[in-house]
Amino acid sequence: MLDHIVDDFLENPSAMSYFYDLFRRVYIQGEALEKSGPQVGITCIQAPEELIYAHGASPVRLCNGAYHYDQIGADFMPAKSCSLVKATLGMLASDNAVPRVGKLDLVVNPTTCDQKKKASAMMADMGYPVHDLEFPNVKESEAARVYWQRSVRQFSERLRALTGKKLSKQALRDAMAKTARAQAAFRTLNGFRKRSPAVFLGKDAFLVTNAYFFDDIGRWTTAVEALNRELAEREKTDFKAAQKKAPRIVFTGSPPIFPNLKLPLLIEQAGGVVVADETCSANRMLYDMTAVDEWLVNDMVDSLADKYLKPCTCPIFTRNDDRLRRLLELAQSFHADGVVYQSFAGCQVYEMEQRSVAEALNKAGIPMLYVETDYSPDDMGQLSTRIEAFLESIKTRRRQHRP
Amino acid sequence: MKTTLSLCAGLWLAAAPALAAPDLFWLSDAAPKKAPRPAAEHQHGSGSEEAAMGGDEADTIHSPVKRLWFRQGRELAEADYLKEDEATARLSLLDALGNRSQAGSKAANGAAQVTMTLKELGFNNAYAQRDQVQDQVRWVQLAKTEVLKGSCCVREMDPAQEKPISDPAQPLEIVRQRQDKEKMFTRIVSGDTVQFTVLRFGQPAARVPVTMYTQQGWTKTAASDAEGKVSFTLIRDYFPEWSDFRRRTKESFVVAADMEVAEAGSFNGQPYGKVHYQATLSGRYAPSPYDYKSYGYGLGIAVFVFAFGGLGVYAYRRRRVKPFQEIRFGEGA
Amino acid sequence: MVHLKAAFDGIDWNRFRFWFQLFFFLLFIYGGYLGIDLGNNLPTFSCGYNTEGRGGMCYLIPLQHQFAWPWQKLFSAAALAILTGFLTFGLWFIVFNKGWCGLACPLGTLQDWITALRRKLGIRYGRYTLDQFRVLSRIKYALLALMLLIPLGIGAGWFSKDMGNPFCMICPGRMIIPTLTGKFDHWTIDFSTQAKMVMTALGMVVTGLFLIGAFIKKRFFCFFCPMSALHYLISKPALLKLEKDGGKCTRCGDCYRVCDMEIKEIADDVDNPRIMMDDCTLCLKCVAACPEPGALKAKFATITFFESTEAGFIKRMHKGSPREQSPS
Repeated sequence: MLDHIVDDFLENPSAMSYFYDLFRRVYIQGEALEKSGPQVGITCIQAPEELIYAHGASPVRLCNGAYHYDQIGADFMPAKSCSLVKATLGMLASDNAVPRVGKLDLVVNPTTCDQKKKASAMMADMGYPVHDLEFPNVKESEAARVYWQRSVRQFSERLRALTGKKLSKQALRDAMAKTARAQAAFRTLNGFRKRSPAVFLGKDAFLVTNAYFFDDIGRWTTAVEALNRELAEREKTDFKAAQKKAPRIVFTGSPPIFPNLKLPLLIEQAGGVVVADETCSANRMLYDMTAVDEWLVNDMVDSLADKYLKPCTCPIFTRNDDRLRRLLELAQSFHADGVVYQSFAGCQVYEMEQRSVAEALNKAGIPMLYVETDYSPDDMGQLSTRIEAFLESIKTRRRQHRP
Repeated sequence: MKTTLSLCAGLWLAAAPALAAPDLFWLSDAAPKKAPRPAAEHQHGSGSEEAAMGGDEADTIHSPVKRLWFRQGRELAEADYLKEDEATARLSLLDALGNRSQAGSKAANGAAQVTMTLKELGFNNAYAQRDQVQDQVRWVQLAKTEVLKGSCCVREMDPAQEKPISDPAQPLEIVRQRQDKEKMFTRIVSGDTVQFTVLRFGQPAARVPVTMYTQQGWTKTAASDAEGKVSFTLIRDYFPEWSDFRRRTKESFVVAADMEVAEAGSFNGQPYGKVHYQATLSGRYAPSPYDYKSYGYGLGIAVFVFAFGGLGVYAYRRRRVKPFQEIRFGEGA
Repeated sequence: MVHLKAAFDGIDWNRFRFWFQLFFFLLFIYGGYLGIDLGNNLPTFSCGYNTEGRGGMCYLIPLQHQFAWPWQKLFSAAALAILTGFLTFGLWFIVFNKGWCGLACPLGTLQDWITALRRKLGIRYGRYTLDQFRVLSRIKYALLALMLLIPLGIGAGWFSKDMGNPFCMICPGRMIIPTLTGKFDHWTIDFSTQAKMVMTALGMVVTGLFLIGAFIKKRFFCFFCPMSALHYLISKPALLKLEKDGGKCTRCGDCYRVCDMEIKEIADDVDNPRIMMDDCTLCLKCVAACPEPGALKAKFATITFFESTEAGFIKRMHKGSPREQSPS
């Protein structure tokens, strides 16, 4: 997969080689990255990483994209359930899994979708200490907000019990600054994708954000900042990473996790360009920044809680208005021609939101391709045909609209 | 010789005032009791209070229209209102800029009443004069009062308008010196020491006996010093029941200066051997705010609420475990 | 012009606001010593009891005073004076809208300083629950109604004149603001009548509560301020405006987080472009705390002078953090 990402394209940004090497080392050579402090596994991006850093621990994101572990995980869950959850379980159940997660001191499992919820007991059965980070199902209500703030406070207490470190103002502030710096770098990177013709491809963007899952946050940020400088150069010289007429696609739905980047890759191999995404493995994870009014611990923790709940566009909530507005906004500000909606077979919440998203986009005159898939590579050929047809239809549409 | 004479006169006055000397002549800004009062003044106070007070100022400080009445008597609250006659025919006015004018009186409610309209903010002096000959003595009674037009809407008035005004044409005049930092709404209150200057034709007159009469009947006499200055500390003499207490009450005072000059002549065909000048200045004073305002209680209540409220909040934060907020982080480090 | 605006969008708003507030604080409390007098109809708590220092007078004093006129005067041609007073007040108000609260009000500024003191001491602030907030934010309308009805009652002769200026009697500004010019007269209980005694005692209680409240709760008093209620009633045509582009909002709640007045709508309402709610003080902290370009905008008439930007947000939120973002 990595070879496809790297070699199928000419003129990759040279600053991307850091990320290519990183993936090679971690996924192919099975190298374990050094991490300081207790290892806290997190099964979902809704667990506030700043608190983990502030307690002197390191987050280990357990979301897995490998078909191999998906198959192992099938022992735990019904066949028709989410590949991502199955792969995570499969990886946790395997010895010497790649990427090397090492010994986990705690697994934090935010109670988001049903499958993640049910995975909690299974991980506990495997012998992992699991903390259920209680996540509300409704986010508009003030009760949910307060409930979630309490969950986050309890999570912090659990981390304190684990690390023996009191949450100090300075440590939390430093941790938040670290994340904020990474987010700022990501936002800059994301900003370059607004440009038409594209200076940067979506598959690389996904690789960068995927690297955030396991790379050291400081190193990652520095690498992204280097990439940003290169992209700024590219922008000045009017570099074209994709054809001028390449259909611009917003990617949404179930998260592409390396090595399962097949859908974004297929889009770009077929001549499209993914200019933006609305997925939890990329944009949603790094986009929303925390605002703090008073840099006191209590306020910082509550601010973090707010940031992890309020802007979240995860489909597990009762309403998906925010996701619709976000998609429309992305399509508009990134000058997108179409939306590709990936839903993992068994990922019910995304499957169920498909209709309302299609309707909203249709109303706005934005074509959408809905793709139901899983980690198996079997449907690559079929998907490739559908994507080519979708991109072709966008081009045709464009020609018709511009007589 | 002179001292004896005036002493005798004093005794004599006390024995038969009607015969010996005319009663104290002064200007009042309180309407006769029968006079209708402005509606706004109706609310506070009951009838009994009014009787005790002997009337408030008829016109508020804001009002451009001011009314004055001519009164005589040392019992200020009970002093008679004079009917229209020669003495009360007119009033001369002098403002801070030296402009003079006249105001005529008319009968209203059985008393002579002068109505004037003031245009400028600030003090105006009103003078009235009464002349008569009794027992070969010509009594020249010069009543004066200060009329102030104020405004709530103008913060500062022209400093020239604030200064005490005197009329060099007056044979005898009492001028009240302004209080420290006196403003338009500064009230003279009991406890204040008020300084007066006695002037004769605009020049300070020394060793003139000056008597202060207050509404509650307190009097004190002192002589002016070499610069014509004399001062009185107003005593606290307002002790009503709490329910009758009125902070805005203003009682009258009258200061009178007496001077006799050997000067022969005739007035209205009556010959006289000497002239007795008696100048009065009437004014108002109010109860001291210290009589009814308490910093102790004020600060006490504020501090009590602050301290106990603060403690309450502290205890609440310490002890009460609000649902969903049972975990607190220390702010140290 | 574009550059200037871009630079302004990136400013440290809270610091800018501090200087702005300080300027107005000095103007309203000590301006009188420089001969400044902006009249008697100011839509902000430039306390009239601060007789010498004030640079203008809070409109609530003349308003309550005029409403206490005897009815035959109130319902005569003299009422024109009330009308002109109100129009002057309205003209002042229209310029700054509720910015009079968040940017100019001396009592608000004082509360912000008390808040800063608490922050320095490392004591966390209190928040209301949403339900408490809903109830509390209605109190100001009740106070506004009382503030007008009691003087009307005085004019009719139903209440004692000692109930005059009822709001001023309980307003902590009456004690605190003159104190700042060395005038301590109002820290007293007036025992002259029962009405006075009750009103002054209430005033002292409120002042005590104000001092603790402002320490614990950001902008404690503003929830109850009848001036704020009066402002809101006439805020439609005001020139200074806070606008929200709901399409750009991610409802991340950053603005709600920093809002001193705990206004939830600022974050959650994506349909209403005119987002200034009745409790808003137009302090514009929300604009400074919004990371979405153009989602929140402060406009003067038709000119957008301050809007949320990504770069501005990052700059502001990174201030003082150990490693600053290197410019890319």
